[in-house]
This record gives sequence, C-alpha cells and structure tokens, in this order.
Amino acid sequence: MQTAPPLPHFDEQALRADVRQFLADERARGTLPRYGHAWTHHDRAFSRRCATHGYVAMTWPRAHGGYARSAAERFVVCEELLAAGAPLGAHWIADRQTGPQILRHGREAVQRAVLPGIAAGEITCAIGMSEPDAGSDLAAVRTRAEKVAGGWRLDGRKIWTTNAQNADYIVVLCRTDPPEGKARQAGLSQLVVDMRAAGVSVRPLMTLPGTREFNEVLFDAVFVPDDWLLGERGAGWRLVTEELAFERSGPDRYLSSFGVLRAALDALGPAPDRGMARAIGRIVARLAAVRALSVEIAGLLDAGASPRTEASMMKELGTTLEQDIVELAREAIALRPGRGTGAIGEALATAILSAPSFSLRGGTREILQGIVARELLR
Amino acid sequence: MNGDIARLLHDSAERLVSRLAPVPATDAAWAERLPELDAAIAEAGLPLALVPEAQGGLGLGWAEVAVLPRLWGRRAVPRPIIEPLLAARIVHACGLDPQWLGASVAAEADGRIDAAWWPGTTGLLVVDQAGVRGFSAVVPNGADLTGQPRACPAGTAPAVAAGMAGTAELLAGARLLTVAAMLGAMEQARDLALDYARVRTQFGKPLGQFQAVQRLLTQAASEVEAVRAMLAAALDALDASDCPEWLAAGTKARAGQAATVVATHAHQVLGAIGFTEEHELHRSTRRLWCWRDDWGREAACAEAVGIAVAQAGGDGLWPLLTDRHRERKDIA
Ligand SMILES: Cc1cc2nc3c(=O)[nH]c(=O)nc-3n(C[C@H](O)[C@H](O)[C@H](O)COP(=O)(O)OP(=O)(O)OC[C@H]3O[C@@H](n4cnc5c(N)ncnc54)[C@H](O)[C@@H]3O)c2cc1C
Repeated sequence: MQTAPPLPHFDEQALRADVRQFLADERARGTLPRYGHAWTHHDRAFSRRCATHGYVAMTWPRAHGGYARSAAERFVVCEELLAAGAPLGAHWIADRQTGPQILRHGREAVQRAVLPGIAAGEITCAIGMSEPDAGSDLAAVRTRAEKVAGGWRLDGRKIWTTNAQNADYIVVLCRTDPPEGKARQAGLSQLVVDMRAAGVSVRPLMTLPGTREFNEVLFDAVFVPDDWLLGERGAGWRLVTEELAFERSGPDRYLSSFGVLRAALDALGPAPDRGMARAIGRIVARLAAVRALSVEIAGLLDAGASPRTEASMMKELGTTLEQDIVELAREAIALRPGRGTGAIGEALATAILSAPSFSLRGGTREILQGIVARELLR
Repeated sequence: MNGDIARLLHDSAERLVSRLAPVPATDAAWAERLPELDAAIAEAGLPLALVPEAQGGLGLGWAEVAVLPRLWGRRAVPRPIIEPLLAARIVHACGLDPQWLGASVAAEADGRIDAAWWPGTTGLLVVDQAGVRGFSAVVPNGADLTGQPRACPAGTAPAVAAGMAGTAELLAGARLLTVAAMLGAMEQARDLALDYARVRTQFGKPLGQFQAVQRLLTQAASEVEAVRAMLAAALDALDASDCPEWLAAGTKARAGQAATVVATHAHQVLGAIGFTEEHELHRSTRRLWCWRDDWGREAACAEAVGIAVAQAGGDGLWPLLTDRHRERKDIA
C-alpha cells in the first residue's frame, strides 16, 4: 500500500467557515431543505453561485478558469457541500470528472470550448459509458465512430446517462477500430460530443425516488470534429479506467445518505437508549474511518499518485455505509416513511428509494471487489 | 508525526524481534526466549519511548510510538508492550518509585479491573480520569483467549498519584496503541489469508480465483485499510492535543468491528488448517479477540461515541466530525 504524503498547508477551519457561511446564505435563500437534496439534483443558479465563490474547478490551472488550489482544499469544499445536501447536479460531473479528463487529454479546441464554461458553473457534462449490452462489461460497447473527412460520424446508444437532459457535452466511449483478436479493450476511443449537435436525442428514464435522474441518449450520424477526440485514437480504455479512479474516491461515496443520519439524530434526541447509542456509535465510527481513508486518497492524488485499489476499497466501504445508514435511520425514526410525513419522514422515504443505486453507479460492488482482489492477489 | 524517527524505532525493534523470534514462532517456543527478549527491550530503552527527553526518555509522540505495538501485533510477540510504555510514562510524569516501571497498567471497566500479567510484574497501576492508583503486588488469577495470564484484583488500590495531569490523554493513547496492535495482527491475518488463497488449489485452480473467496479477501483487506487510515488520523490528532474522547473511542470501536470481519474471513479462507494449534493464524486472531476488550470493549466504545453524537444532534454531527482546533499541519 502507498503511504500518505504530507498534506499541503492551508487553513482548513477558515475554508470550512467560508463554505458554511455560503451554505447558511443558501438556506436563508430557501434553496437548501433541512435535510438536503440528493447531490445529483440539478440547480443551475446554485452552481453559478458556487462558481462565483470559487468552489468549482478549484484545482485547475488559472489559464482554464481554475484556482490552482490543492486536491485537499477541493476535498474540504466538496465534503462541506455534500454534507449539507447541496444541489450539485448542474456542475458535479463536469467538475469531478469530465473537466479533469479534458484537462489531461483534451486538445486545445475542446479545452477552450468547454473548460471556462465548467469553471463558471454554466456547463453541465454527462458520462456516456454504459449501453444496453455493456454495463459492467464496459468493453462490450457497440457505439461506433467512423472516420469521415475532418472528424467522426458517431452512431449508437448510451443508457443510464445521469443528467443528459441538462447536459451541454457528453464524453462518449465508442469503438473507432475493430478489436485486436480477443483484446476488446483495443480500438476504443473517447469523444467529446456537443449535445446540441444534429442527430443527438435524449429519452428520459424515471428512477425509484420519482426523479428524472438518468436517460437514454441516441446518436444518429452525429458529426464530431477531429480535435474533439480525447487522447489518441484507440486509447479510450486507458482513459476510461483512469477517469473512474477520480469518480470513485470522493466524499460523494460516503455522504449520499448523510442527511437522513442527521434526521435520525433529530428524531432520537440527545438521550437515546443504550442499544441505539451503540448503533449510532458504530455507524459514526465507520463514517470517520472511511472519511480518513478518503482524505488520504485526496492527498495521494495531490502528490500525483493513482491510488486505484485504495479508491475502489474506499468506494465499497463508503457506499455500503451509505446503505447501512438508511437502515439505522429506519430503526431510529418511528414513522412510516412516505409523502406528507414531514421533513424527517420524507428524507427517510427518499433515502430508502435511492439506496439501491449507491452500490451500482460508478461500478458495481461486485466489479470493484474484482478489481481489488486482482490487485491483492498479484 | 516524524516519519524518520518512527522508521528508526520500527527498524531497531524489528531487528530485535527478528533476532530473538523462534522458528516457527509458536508461543511455546517463544516462552524460552522471553527473558532474553525482556532484557533486549530494556537495553534498547523501548519502554522509555513516551517519556520526555528531559526525564531521560526518547520523547516520542503517540504516532511515532505506535509502530511498536503494530509490530508486536504483526509478529504476535507474546509479551505486553503497551503496558510497559504506559507505566514508564506514568512513573516519570508522577515521579513514582522506579519499582512501578515493571507494573502492569489498566483502567477499570464494567466495575472490574482486568490487567495483563507477566512473570516479574511489579504491581498494577490503575488509571482513571481522576488520577492513578496502584496495587504494589498482584497475582495472576485468570487467563485470556491466548492463554496469557491476567490479574483481576479485588478491592480498591491506594492512590499513588492523585490528580495526575493528562490522564485523559493517557487513556486515549492506550486505546490508540491497542488499535495499533490490532492493526498489526489484522495485517498479518490478511496476509496469511492472501498467501493461502494464492497457493491452495481446489477444483483445479487457486482459491483466489473464486469470486466468493475474493469477496472475503477484499472485505478483510478493506477493513484493514479503514482502520489504518482512521488510526493515523486519530494519532495525529492526539499528538496535536486535539483528540476528543469520541475519536479515540470511535477508533477503538472501528478496530473492533474490523477485527471481527478480518478474523472471521481469514478463518473461512484457511479452512480446517486454520483451526488448528499448529497453524499460525490463531496467533493473530486470538490476539485480535483479546484486544477487542482491552482499554474499552467495543460495545462500550461505540456507546461513548453514540452518546457524544446524540448530544451533538443532527446539526452538531458534521462539526463534531470535522472541526479541529488546529490548522492542518505540515508533516514533512
Ligand atoms: C443512479 C445511476 C446513475 C448512473 N449514471 C451513469 C452515467 O451517468 N453514465 C453511465 O455511463 N452509466 C451510468 N450508470 C450505469 C452504471 O455504471 C451501471 O449500472 C453499472 O456499470 C452496472 O451495469 P448494469 O446496470 O448494466 O448491470 P450489469 O453489468 O448487468 O450487472 C448486474 C449485476 O450483475 C453483477 N455482475 C456483472 N458482471 C459481473 C461479474 N463479472 N462478476 C460478478 N458480478 C457481476 C453486477 O455487479 C450486478 O450486481 C448509472 C447507474 C445508476 C444506478
């Protein structure tokens, strides 16, 4: 295992105080319910205000609209926003994943077109990986890009695409060349696609909590210019696995149900019985531990390492905790969850209906365990 | 934490243990070497690690010193290390008679005192928030799950250092050093399970290729990582005089949860061979089961966290988890 590098120096409490003031203002404005939104909740105006406060694109170079701050500082800001249940959907994926991917592997044209808008909180991005026949087995994607003059012609279908209905750009994993024999990972590439391009259409899919969280996205002879290819032709598999490491280790992997934990504490009051106190203690101890691991990983990313195994372990520990928090809340809250049950009952209802997705999105529990096991048994 | 000093301390202790450890390192084989081990530990001055330099000690912090119990746990050294470290710290902090350097140390829990005992134990120091009491002679009257003697004296010991400053830090430190020992033992149990999964073949392939077995291994390894990271954070907080009681208790509770998973899964992977006296796995797992109860059993620690959290309430939980009364420091 890699050991944690020294954390860069900054005034952590001052930064937390800054974000908490911002959140207090948002609460006063009425954009933040008592137990928060799901972080995927889309609110463009909120994202713009986040950007104005310098909470988006924090670690990017200034030339691209960023603030050249450390991953450790970004971590603090993100966990404060997530713990409060801030509606981050309009910029979250772009800030966490698509932006950094374009920074590392995008050509100048795409960087200039997309990055400043993300940094300003104006641009929403989507992840175009999964397909009807390519879920865990991502290398089975069938969406194809054929070489045409000046670019690519893209045909195919993506599914489970979070926030595609609001997205300005999507990064599509597609086949640009045939596989080399049995090596299906060869011949894949990532293209950045403008959602307004002719031939792109979006079909909504409703999820259990009753929100339109994800979609099906169809590409019918969509033209993508040459310099909107990320990295080299055929390097898509390496890019996609690298990208997933960023997706896996952040505080969004253990704070998804934090709001309902707060609701449970409010319902219990300051003197729970002994059994409940122990149950809460166990859950909070797990939370503190997974958070410590996530902080360490942020430090490793800062130091330029790619702690993929640790990130997969952290996601699995974190998402299991998120699900167990919901179970604890059920035990603590003496209410039949549902609509019209007040803030606490509604927070619980949403948490119950959302929980199954925690260990699916971003790579399922079973797939993560496979990744970790391969590394451990090497 | 000063990583260099910790490494030096670890390396010299590792050399010492490696030089003396019997092969195979069964507890029975170790028994003959223990007098030599005791002498070597004393000569290396290891128990003085937590004593300030001004008082003739090594003046190390908790994070640095934690490498010792972690190593003891990793190698399943059948001799207490945490008690001598704490005894030396107490003796020098309170100016006690040097006789107490050889004492065991414990805290009262569930209305009982239950302390480690080894041949030559010169007494028993009992620590609580109010101060330190001492039994000047104790006899073993029980044994723990590894068969090591325990002393459970009845009655109340006379106070030897009422109002010792820093007992809260000492109690938190005792918990975290115990977690360090558990971490070492968990790392060993995990590695034994991984090694076995690589070499043991059934149905024509190594066990590690079965997904069901992989699941046991990854869960065990993830638990170890979670404890390692939380312990590091808590030790740094303690060295910065900023480790609230819930954090030390929570780290101990988390280690207790992990110990169950790691021991259970390691035994599952090793099958019947791991359930034998001959195989070394029990040297790690039995110690894990013991240490779960040292310096606050898991249920009591979890309860302490739960009470602190309930008092903080829904709005206080996040500040409780994140607020530190110090800046994130440079740890070059
Ligand atoms: C809320 C949500 C948001 C999402 N957002 C996006 C998005 O924005 N963009 C995007 O591209 N995708 C997105 N996804 C899709 C997600 O990445 C996939 O759901 C995931 O990769 C699993 O694929 P699948 O659903 O097809 O399940 P399958 O791959 O069909 O798996 C079904 C079950 O079988 C198990 N399984 C599969 N293969 C193995 C194996 N080899 N060994 C053991 N078990 C196995 C899985 O773990 C799972 O339990 C989202 C999903 C959710 C739930």
